[in-house]
Amino acid sequence: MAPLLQLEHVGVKYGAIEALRDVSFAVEEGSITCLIGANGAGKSTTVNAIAGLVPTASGRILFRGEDITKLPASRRIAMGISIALEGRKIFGDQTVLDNLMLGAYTRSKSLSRLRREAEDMLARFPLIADRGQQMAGTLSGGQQQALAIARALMSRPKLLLLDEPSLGLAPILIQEIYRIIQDLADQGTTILLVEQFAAYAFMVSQNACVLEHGHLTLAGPVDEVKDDPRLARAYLGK
Amino acid sequence: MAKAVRRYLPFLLVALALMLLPWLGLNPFYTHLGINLGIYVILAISMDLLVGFSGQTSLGHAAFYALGAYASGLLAVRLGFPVWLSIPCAAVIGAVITGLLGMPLMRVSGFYLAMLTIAFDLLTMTLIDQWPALTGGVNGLYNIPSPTMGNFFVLGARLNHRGYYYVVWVLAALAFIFQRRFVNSFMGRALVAIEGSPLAASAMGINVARYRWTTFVLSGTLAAIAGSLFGHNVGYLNSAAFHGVSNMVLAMALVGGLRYPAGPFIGALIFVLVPQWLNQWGLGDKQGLVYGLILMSSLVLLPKGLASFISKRPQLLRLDPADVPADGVENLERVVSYSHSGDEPPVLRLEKVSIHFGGNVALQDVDLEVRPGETHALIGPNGAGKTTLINIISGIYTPTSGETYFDGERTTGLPPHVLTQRGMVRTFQNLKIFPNLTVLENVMIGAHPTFKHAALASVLPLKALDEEEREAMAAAREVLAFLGLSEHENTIATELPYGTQKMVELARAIVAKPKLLLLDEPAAGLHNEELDRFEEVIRKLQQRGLTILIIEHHLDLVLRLADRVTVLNFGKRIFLGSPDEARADEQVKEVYIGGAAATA
Amino acid sequence: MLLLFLILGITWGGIYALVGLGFNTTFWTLRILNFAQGEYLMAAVLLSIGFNRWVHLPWPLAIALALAVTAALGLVLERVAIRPVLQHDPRSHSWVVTTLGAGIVLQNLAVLLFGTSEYPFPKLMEGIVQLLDARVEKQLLAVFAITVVLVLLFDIFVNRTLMGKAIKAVAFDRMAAEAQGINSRGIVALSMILMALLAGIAGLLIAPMVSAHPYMGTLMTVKGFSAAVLGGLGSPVGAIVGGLVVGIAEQLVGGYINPGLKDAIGLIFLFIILIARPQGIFGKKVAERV
Repeated sequence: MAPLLQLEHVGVKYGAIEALRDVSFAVEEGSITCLIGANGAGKSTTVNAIAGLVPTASGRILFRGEDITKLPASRRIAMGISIALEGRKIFGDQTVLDNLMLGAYTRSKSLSRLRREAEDMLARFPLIADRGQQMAGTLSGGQQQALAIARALMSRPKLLLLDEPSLGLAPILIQEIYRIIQDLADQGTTILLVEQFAAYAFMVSQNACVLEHGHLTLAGPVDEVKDDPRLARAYLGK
Repeated sequence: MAKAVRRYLPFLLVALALMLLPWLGLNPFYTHLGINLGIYVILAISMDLLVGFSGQTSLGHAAFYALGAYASGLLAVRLGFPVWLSIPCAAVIGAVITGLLGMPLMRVSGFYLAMLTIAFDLLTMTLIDQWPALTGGVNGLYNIPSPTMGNFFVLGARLNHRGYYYVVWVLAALAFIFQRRFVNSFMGRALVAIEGSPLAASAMGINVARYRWTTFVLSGTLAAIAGSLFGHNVGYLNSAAFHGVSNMVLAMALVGGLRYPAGPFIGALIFVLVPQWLNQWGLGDKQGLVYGLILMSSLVLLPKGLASFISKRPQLLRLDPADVPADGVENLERVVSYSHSGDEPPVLRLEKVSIHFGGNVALQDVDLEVRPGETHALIGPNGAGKTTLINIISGIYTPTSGETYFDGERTTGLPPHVLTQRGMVRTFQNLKIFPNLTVLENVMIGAHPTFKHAALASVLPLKALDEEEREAMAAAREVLAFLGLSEHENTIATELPYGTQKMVELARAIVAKPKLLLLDEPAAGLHNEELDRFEEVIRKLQQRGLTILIIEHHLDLVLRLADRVTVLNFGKRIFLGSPDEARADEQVKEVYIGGAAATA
Repeated sequence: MLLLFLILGITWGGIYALVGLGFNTTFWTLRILNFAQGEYLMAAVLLSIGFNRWVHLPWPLAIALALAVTAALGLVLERVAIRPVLQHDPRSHSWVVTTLGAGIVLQNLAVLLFGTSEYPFPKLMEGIVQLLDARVEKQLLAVFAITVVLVLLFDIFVNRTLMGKAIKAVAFDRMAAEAQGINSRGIVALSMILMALLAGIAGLLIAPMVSAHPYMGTLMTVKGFSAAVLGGLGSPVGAIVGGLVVGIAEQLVGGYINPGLKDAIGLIFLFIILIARPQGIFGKKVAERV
């Protein structure tokens, strides 16, 4: 079976800076793959490129066998890719329910239907279940992260991209968030997880890709990558 | 002197042509046109100073123009002032009003300022209309001494149009020379820096608010002078005369070309000739339409203005770089050389620094110490608080509690430009090279604190100022040579590749002779050879005794360079020690590769 | 008399609020201020007159067509005067000049087509009504009612429709909005259309009261801007409050102190608020990112 997502020799530039160089990997359906590496290695750039939020300078991105490299973000989301951005980026001036409804923007324009689905989704996240009418900007960090993931799920994605869900959260909240991620994995959602903290990612992932300075230097099953000496070097150097 | 003549030869030729114009036996109409041109040149210069150099958009310049016209007119008509007195008085009144207006204005930036100037313009026109006792109201102010009326006297001599022509052009020439001398100096560079990034300019020791205010006042004063000349030219004033002038002045400056010496002249020429041409072609009533189209399209089609076709923008330098050689690395001693005895106090000390943003505690009880001559690395994962800490150290944020000490003195809460003047210089994570300045100009900004004179002094040919410029330029050229960037001196900095720009920012920081160099992710975005080069440069600086505090995510690089390492996580310090100790420390490894809670 | 001033003040205030809301919609999505706003107000009015007089369309049709053309002009403005500037440099303030130029072009085109004389505009309703001690034109009450309805509709649109939520999302964080599949280009276009329609309708509401000519927009730009800035750019509630403050103050000053100062009051408020509190009553400060 063809992988759900394939990157082939993808390169991304921000002006003169080469953020990604010749990155190739694949994500199998139903698996969780983590993308790890030091800060600045290009992890966010990779998922943003997959979602269509930044243009690729070279290479191809294939989703379910289809070349989506030139497609705009709105099309990709309609096709089944969804992203929870780094730093959560929820809409602080709107309510929790509004945020959720906007997550399903590509699926439906009917407010009543969206509202029902949003309320159903809310029930699945105890952290925010009773805060539907609260302004999203007043939620705590952990609650916002839960909202960001819930919002990303509203479009019923085939592939969920999670960018640093643990960022800025206290350890106990990180545990809660990863419990949510594990549940999603158990339900069969395909996830590409970006993390600075490798150990968290290893907890839930089957496969790992390590980025160093925009280049993929190590990839494989988590069990192998975990003990590879090159991993420590990727973060701390020689 | 000979250099100046060569540089300005085209202008001298134009000046000669202008001098001869009234004597060429042409229709006196051309003299009238010439008078208008001279007045517009002064207006355009005033606008170029404000918009082109300090980046403040004024959409209501007609207000100052009108104020000058009415001031001089009223002094002459109501109080019988002779014109050689009323015009300078109008200038002073213009300066005072813009000075007062400018003070609260300087806190307002960008388009708020633009709207404020529109409001002021409309209020001024309303005032003119609604105060007939003073201004003659809608009926206007009559009998202003003017060559047309034949009652324009300067020191007893009656002047006709030809004479007035020379009066106007002498003043225009003076305005031109004033502007040239003002901007070819540390002032000009500082103003363009402010336009590029007020934050970075402040971090370089530039007092942004004060310089903006000074430029605003100069601009308003020049506009007032132009206005008084206008008033005396036509002999009669009412508010209708100033209709659309604000837009025209802005268009003149933009179309001519901001920051080019020839810009104001070309812009003024276009706006004197275009109405004539339109009249000739029977399109006189389309004048407004043409202005509108010019405003709409000029910044899109001709972003740099017409003058950019004639020449490259000359450097904002008081001296010619050819006269100030960079003698090579040997003389780098003068710029980068620090000696330390063993028992000096720490250069930087932070004591229990904490900061909250709303409910979020970004840093808690952080201690930090940087010893003289050491390279101290500050590391930690994304979101740990490193940039927040650097912003506190460099004065951008004030801590909620705790103290900072620099060079033994308490510096908590001091603003960035003061800290820079004391010797704390930083680079920025989001590269803040000043656009619109060349590499040499950018780097000379680093030496800004060494220019000790008041803003207006740059206009005067003082030896002391020449010396300061020479020192700064020599230092800049030497540091650039040291970093291998000499070939790019004359290039606009933002046109260079990213890695090179980072080097320029480093050069700029070094020239400031920092007691402490704060590098915020200096290697971000660099690859391979650039990283090697960067490491080489830092080692050379270390050999010369420079004290460095560096944040970096290229841990392999920074652990090689550092003497000691402070590690932050979740806003707290979790480790302080040598790089080897850091590599071996379980907590540090966990921070990056693992999470304690995860493996529990 | 006081009652009359208040009614006039609230009515005019509502109209300033409409123009201010127009400023807000483009500020939200593009972070720019449309200096040609008033000319859109004027365009809808003069185009209506043109369609009625020269194309002989009945008024309702003429007005509808005029509004459609005005909306299209809004899209043109974005394409020609705003997008090229922002694409070249997102930080640039050059749109101040280009939108200003666009306004001047529109104004001068209007002069070429319509001359500088004033045109009468039909009233919605004729007749006078007695309210307490004031004799109020029915027209005024009709304008008042329509303004209230429009402001309410705008509020409903922004807060209770999906489109409105999408606009708020794009305004809050464009990238996050795109990450939900929202087409931000389309939202920007929508905001330009809203801006043009709000200005156009405001113009149509005042036209019967002040008569139409190419320069009728300039002063309204300033007053609408005063309303928006006073209330705080980015806050629709602010635009409404700001509009009411300016409208009522104008009438009171004009009625009790000096009619010549009526137009200056809005300017004075603008001046004071920009100096004392540039972000306005309900607005938030924006700082440079380090």
